Amino acid sequence: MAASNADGTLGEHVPRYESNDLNSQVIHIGSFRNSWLETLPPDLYSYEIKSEEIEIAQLAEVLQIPTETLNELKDICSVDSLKSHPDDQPVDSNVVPPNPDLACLRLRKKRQDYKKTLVRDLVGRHDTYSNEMESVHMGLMPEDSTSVVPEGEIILSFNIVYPILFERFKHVRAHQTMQVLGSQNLTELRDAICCVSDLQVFGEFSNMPDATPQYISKDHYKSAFFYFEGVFYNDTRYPECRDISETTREWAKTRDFPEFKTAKMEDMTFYDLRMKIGYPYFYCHQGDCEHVMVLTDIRLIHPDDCRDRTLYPLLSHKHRVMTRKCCVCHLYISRWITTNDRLAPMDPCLFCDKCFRMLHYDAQGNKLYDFQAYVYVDPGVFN
Amino acid sequence: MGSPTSVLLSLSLKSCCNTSSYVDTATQTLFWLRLFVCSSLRVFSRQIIMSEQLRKFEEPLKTDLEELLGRFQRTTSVRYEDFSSMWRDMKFGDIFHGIQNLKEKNAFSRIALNTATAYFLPPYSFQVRVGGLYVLYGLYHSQCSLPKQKIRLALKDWGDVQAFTQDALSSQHYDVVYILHKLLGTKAFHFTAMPVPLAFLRDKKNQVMPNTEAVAKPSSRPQQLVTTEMLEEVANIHQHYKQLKASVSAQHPEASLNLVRHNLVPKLFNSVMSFSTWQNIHTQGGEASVQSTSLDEPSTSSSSNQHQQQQECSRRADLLASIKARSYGQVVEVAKSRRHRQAELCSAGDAGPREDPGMGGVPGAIPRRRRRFHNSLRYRTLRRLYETGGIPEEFLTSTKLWRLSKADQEETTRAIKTRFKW
Ligand SMILES: [Zn+2]
Ligand SMILES: [Zn+2]
Repeated sequence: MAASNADGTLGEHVPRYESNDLNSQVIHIGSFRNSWLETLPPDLYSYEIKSEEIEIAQLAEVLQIPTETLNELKDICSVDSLKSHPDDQPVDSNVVPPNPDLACLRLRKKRQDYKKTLVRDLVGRHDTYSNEMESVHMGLMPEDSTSVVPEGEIILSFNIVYPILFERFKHVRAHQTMQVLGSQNLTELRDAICCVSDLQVFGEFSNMPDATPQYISKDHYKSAFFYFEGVFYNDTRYPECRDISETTREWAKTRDFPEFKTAKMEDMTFYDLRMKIGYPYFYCHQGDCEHVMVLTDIRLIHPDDCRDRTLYPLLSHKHRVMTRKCCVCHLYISRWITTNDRLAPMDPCLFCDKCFRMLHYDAQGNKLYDFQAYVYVDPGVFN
Repeated sequence: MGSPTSVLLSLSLKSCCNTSSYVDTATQTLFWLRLFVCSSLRVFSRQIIMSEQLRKFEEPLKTDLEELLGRFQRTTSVRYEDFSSMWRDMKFGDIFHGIQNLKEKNAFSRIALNTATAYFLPPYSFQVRVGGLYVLYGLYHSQCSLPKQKIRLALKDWGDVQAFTQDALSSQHYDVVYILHKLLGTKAFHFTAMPVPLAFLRDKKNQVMPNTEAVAKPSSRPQQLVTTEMLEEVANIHQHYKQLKASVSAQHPEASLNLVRHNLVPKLFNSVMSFSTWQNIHTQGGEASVQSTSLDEPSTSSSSNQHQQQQECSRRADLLASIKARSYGQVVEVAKSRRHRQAELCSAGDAGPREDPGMGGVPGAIPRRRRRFHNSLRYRTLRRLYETGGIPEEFLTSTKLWRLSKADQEETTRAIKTRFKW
């Protein structure tokens, strides 16, 4: 690795490791894409898969051998040559073969034998669905031909970590993974990031539990910023938006930091950015809901990717979180949180809608005693 | 449920260190609420386990790939026929078998392809790289994933691939060029920025690194630098320098002129020798301990078992040595003279497992702390009720979801839970 890093023959926009296989050097994303497109023959990144005849003819030209020889080659190198089991004895690919020689299979078998000794105590309902997330958009074509993603577009994958990492999250880094196109605006990614903070409802509702709140935090507080490589990208699309990065920049000025720049989120596409791959950056919204985000991967679009532009940013992975159940029935997901509540076993305390009303109100809906109640939005709502 | 005190504590902590002035919302209750929500975030442990489990397959994957490539290398051929017969022989396609969950299938395919890609790129010799290409072809078409996982090719490696194609073409290895073209034609590649996705997992990286480095690329810089020619050259210069000094101060040899040790050359030679010996022992020691823990046999092994294990170790060492020797063929002559001695050292050291297998064999691995577990409020209440005789004992255990589909009488044997040893 060190050798290829050191030589200067590679172009300026060829990403290389900066440290310990951990993250790359800063690259300009648009130029990186151009470097690939310059060096790669267009048919290698196009969506079209060539028919076999054309393929053979082209190859015969490259190799300068007669087509008969090439057909012979084709037979030798066919995919069938890899099959270790004859066609009339198909094997079940879901079972580890008995007495395997390969180290991987030995380990897998050992693991499976171990698993059989365990009592099942979880039914993975979610697993069945989470598989679909990966395959549902595979090679999807839009109905409207104008929204096809052009060939040679790049896809960026961002890991957006859930807010506030305590000690116990150090090894997990619960996150959602978003795929965005290089030509998309930063604001498109911002709008696609879903976070419970955006859904919070402001206010105390113990006196009127039936008044359904009209606005959630997302409607009230629209300011947000991304921080990439010394630049704060502020969302300034609405008149209510404020530059919430200002405090940080002011603070940094007094601490001898290099000067931070600002830019407008809605003016920038991902092609315009300079970033490191695998390096932690920052997304902040709702004033103080802070998400670490990491650009994990950049690559050219592939025929198997979703080709409908309107479906991007695409959510491709999401950690599920446990839902908080009502402390009375332990069955339903909580909707209310109360404080200064003398009938509650703890403070604060969570209730589902039904138990909340039964405990705190009489049949006519009158409040029975004094307490404060707030709307609770469970982080598990996105599961 | 996090106790209220812990919430309040983190609240006060947060308000201390946070620049609360950039709180756009300015509503204390909302702030408080959100904090509660975030702090109560718990992730399903199952999702964590899967990624950690897959990581454990990296080592055996390397073992398998090196076995296959080593066999291929011993044929000293680059013909695809030879490779494919070996592939069938080893039933290598079965490596993907036995995974039920699609997500896990995909993840395993990705790891397998990523691991194999390394052998397709420099610094390996042409023959190993051809083997690497064939392995990629084999793995790509044998995987049971949906969609088929792609081979990642980084921009910086593309030049190497092009040069490789040129080499194959000029020496008329048609099957090599054909296979590569076919992979490209079936769109088996992702053209990426970096060889693997990077997620800034600092601590995990550190745990994996020692082994991978040991197998794939032992550092050979000192040996490259200090060759026999270089030593001769230095000896010459040193001799010359001494003569010059002698001519300058023939009458009264001054101590202040002794800037260089007089035994410079032997010293240099000895330190490189000892570094190299240390390196050999170190890498092979590491591999041996991994090998001994990943073997299937229980620790109460008979002597024949032990013997077999020993043989396997030295066979593997030979194999690795031959792969290394090929890829670093140009390196040093000094190494050759020492190779037999190194083998002796290895067999003596490998007779017994170097490390306690219970330790997991990974140097520097942090022992996992058991999570502290608080009983829920519901459980505590039930417990109290049970103790005062309010309810029968069976109320204490909750009914698991899967039991709903089982008959009441059907008693499941509750096995003693032991931790899986990797
Ligand atoms: Zn948030
Ligand atoms: Zn309830």
